[in-house]
Amino acid sequence: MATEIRQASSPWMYRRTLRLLLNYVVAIAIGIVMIFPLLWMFSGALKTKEMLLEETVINLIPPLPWQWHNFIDAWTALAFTRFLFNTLVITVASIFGGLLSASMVAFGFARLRFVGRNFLFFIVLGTMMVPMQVTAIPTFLLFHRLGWLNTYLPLIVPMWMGGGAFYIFLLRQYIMTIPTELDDAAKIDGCSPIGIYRHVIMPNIGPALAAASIFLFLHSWNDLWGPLIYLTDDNTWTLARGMLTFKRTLAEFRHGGGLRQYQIHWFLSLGTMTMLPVLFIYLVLQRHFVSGVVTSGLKG
Amino acid sequence: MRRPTLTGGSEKGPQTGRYDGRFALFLIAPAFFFYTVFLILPLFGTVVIGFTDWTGISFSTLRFTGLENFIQMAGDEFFWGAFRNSFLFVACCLLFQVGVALLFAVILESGPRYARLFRSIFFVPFVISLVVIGILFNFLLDPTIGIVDILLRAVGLDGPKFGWLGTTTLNVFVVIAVHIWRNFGFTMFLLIAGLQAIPRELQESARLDGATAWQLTTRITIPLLREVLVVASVITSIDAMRVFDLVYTLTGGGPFHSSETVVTYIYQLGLGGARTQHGYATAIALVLVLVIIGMSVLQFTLARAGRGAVSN
Repeated sequence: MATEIRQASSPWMYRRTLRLLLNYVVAIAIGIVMIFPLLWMFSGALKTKEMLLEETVINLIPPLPWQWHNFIDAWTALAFTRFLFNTLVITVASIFGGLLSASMVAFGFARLRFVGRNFLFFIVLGTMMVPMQVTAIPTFLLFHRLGWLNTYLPLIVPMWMGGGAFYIFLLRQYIMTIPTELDDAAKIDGCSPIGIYRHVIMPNIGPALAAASIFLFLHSWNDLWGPLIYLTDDNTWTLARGMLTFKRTLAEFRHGGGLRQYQIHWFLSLGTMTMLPVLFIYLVLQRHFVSGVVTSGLKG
Repeated sequence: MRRPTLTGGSEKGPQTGRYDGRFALFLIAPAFFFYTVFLILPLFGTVVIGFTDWTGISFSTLRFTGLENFIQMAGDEFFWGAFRNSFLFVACCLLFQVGVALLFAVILESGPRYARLFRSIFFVPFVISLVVIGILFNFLLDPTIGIVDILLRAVGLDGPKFGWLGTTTLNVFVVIAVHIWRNFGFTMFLLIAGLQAIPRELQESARLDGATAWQLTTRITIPLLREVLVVASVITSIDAMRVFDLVYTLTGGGPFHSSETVVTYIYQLGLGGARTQHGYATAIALVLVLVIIGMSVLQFTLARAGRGAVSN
C-alpha cells in the first residue's frame, strides 16, 4: 500500500524537488556573485601586501595573524580624518537642505493650486533628463566666479533645489496618498498652511523621507564627479576623492616595475571602512525605504 | 472643475484651491531660485559656449565659431568611439539590467522564502561608492591575482593576455557588466515597488480561472507594470548614457580611448586633460543632452503607442 502511494506520487514529487533545488542553487549562486567582491575586499583588508600580490588561489579567510594595523596605517597615510569630516559636513548639509526644500516643493505641487502649476511640475520632471555632467563647464565657471571652488558649497547648495527632481517627484506622490480630510480637520482647528505642512504633512511622510534621505546620503557620500571637479585642494577632499589616489591600476605598476610600492592592502581596508557605515545605515533604514517607495506608487 | 494631473493622480476637487498663491510662491520660490541659478542658467551657458572656441577661464579669447565645433565632431573618431560605447551601454543595460531586474522582481514577488534576504543582497552593490567598486574590480579582473583568471586557470583556460580591462574590444563589455552588477538592484527595486502597487484581486481571480503562473505573469502582471517599466527603462538609459565615475575609475577611458564614453570624453576635453577645449567639450555636452531627451521621448512615445495597441 505504502509503496503504491510512493510510486504514484514519486514522478511529481521528484520534479517538484528538482525544481525547488534548482531554484535554490541558482539563487545562491547569484547571491554569491553579488556579494563575493565585497567579501574579498573584507578579507583582503586583513592580509599583508605580499599575500595579496602573490595569491594564486581564492582565499576568503585571511591567514593568521590578521593585519588589523592595516586599518590604522591606511587611515593615517593620507588625512582621512579630515576627509571624513568634510564628507560628513557635505552629506548632512545636503540631506537636510534637500529634504527641506524637496518636501516644501512637493507639498506645493501636491496640495496647492496656483497658476502654472502643471507647467512648473513638467519643467521639474524635464530636468531629470539634464544630468549635471552636461552643464559641467558653465557650472564650473559659475562656481569659479562665485569664489566657491575648494569650498563645500558647490556640493551642498545645488542640492537645495529640492535635491533633484527625483526626490520632489517621490515626495509629491507620497503626499498625494495622504487624505485631504486631514488638512481640512487641521484647518478647521485653526492651522495655517505652514502649520498643515509642519503638523499634518511632515509627520505623515516618514517613509518617503527615509527613502529620499537614503538616496541623498548615497549621492553625497559616494559622489566622485563633484569633488573631482570642484575640490583641488586636498584639505577639502571627501572620502571618495581621497580614495581616488589608489586609482592607478596594477597593470600600470607592473609595467613600470613598481608593483611593490602599490599599497593594495591599504586600499582594501579603506574601502571596507568607507562602506561599512553606508551598509549599516542602509540595513537600518531599509524597511522604511521599501515602504516609502512602494506607497508612493511610482506611477509615471 | 477637475484638471488632469501629469501623473494620473486624482486631484481632490475644489478644496485644494483654498490656499492662496502667495503661499505657494513662498514654498516653491526658494527651490526655483536655486533651479534657475544652478541648472537653467548653466544650461543656457551650455548652449552659448557650445558655439564658441573658448579654451579657458578668460573670456577675452572667446570667439563665436558657428557650427565649427559640430563639423569638428563629425571628423573626430574619438567622439564617434565614445558615442558608440555609450550606445552600447544603453542597449546592454536596457536588455540585461531591466530584463534581469524584471525577472528577479517577478520571482521575488511570487513569494519564495528568503525573498526579503535576496532583495537586500541584490541592492547592496548599489550602496557602495563607485570609486571603491572601480578600484576593487581592477584587482578582481587582474590577469595574475584576479579571481576570474584564477578560476579560469583552475579549469585550464587562459584569460585575455592583457587582462579583461586592457583588451580593447572587450573592455567596454566588462565595464558594462560591472555597471549592471551594481545598478540592477536599484532597477529591481523600482519594479518591485510597481508590482506591489498592482491589486492582488486581479491575480487571485485569474488564478481561480485557471491561469498558469506563466500566463499570470505575461498576461496580467507585465501589462499592468507597463508604466513603471517605462519609467525604469528611461532612468536606466539616462544613467547608462551619463556614466562617468565607474569608467573613470575602472579604465580611465583607456587603453587608447577604447573604453571612452561620452562623459569621460567631455571630462577629458574640458576639465581633466592637459589642453582644455571648453567650447568643443560643451558642444559635445549639448549633443549628449539632445540625445538623452530624444531617447526619453522616444521611449515614452513607444510606450504610449504600445498601450494604444493593447487597448484596441
